[in-house]
Amino acid sequence: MSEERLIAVAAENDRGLYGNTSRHFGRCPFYVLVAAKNHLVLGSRVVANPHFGMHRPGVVPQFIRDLGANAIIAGGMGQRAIDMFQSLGIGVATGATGTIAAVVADYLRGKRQASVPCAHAQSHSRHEDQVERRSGLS
Amino acid sequence: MNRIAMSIVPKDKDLSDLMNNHFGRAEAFLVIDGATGEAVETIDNASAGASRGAGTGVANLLKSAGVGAVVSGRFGPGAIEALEDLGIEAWAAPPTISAREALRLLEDGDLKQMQP
Repeated sequence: MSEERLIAVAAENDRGLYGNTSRHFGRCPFYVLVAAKNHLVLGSRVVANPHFGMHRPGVVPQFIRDLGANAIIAGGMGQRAIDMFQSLGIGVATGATGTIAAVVADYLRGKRQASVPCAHAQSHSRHEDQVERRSGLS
Repeated sequence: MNRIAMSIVPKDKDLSDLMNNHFGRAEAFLVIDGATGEAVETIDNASAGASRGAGTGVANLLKSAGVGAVVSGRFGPGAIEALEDLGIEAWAAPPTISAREALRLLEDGDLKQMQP
């Protein structure tokens, strides 16, 4: 029991292990919660994202923690969200594409452990930097 | 108990599906809202084919779904212990009845509770 893990995967639809991984960890309609032991998938359930369509920083990491998940996998995530998940003791893996089943299989075999903030979030912070610099000049 | 999980042979994934006769071998669980008696979600058991220890695999998923009681045909000793550890009640139902009938028997107090 102690080696059992619960992995949350951001999902585009409610098709469970056969559905596609979402590009955004928070702006997705569903999560697939996968129970696994070592390299084996034991079972899964589809959970609707209660914050879909009204995404606010911090609420999704808390929701994922309350589900009892030890890890989250998604296509992309900003650095702030990565930090929030990690401070809650939840592992983060990003850059995932394809079916949930394939993404989870890769993760369980240690092929998917990186948590790199997505370019979208980086460009956001660059925008903010530029705005600050400009206002500083004027 | 707020939510009840019924171990089923998944066909329509609703209360008309037949009960599975073994907790660990159930391909799916139907989660029922105890207040309304309606099915709210299904949980897939990918370890249904495992030779042993299959029953403990989905216990954490049931817990995460807020399940307080499970109804199934039979339970292995490992499964009963795993459920007990998570504070989930185990109730045995006769096989070959529908999930709807099994739920009614549970509500009427006609099922036997399994304990380690």
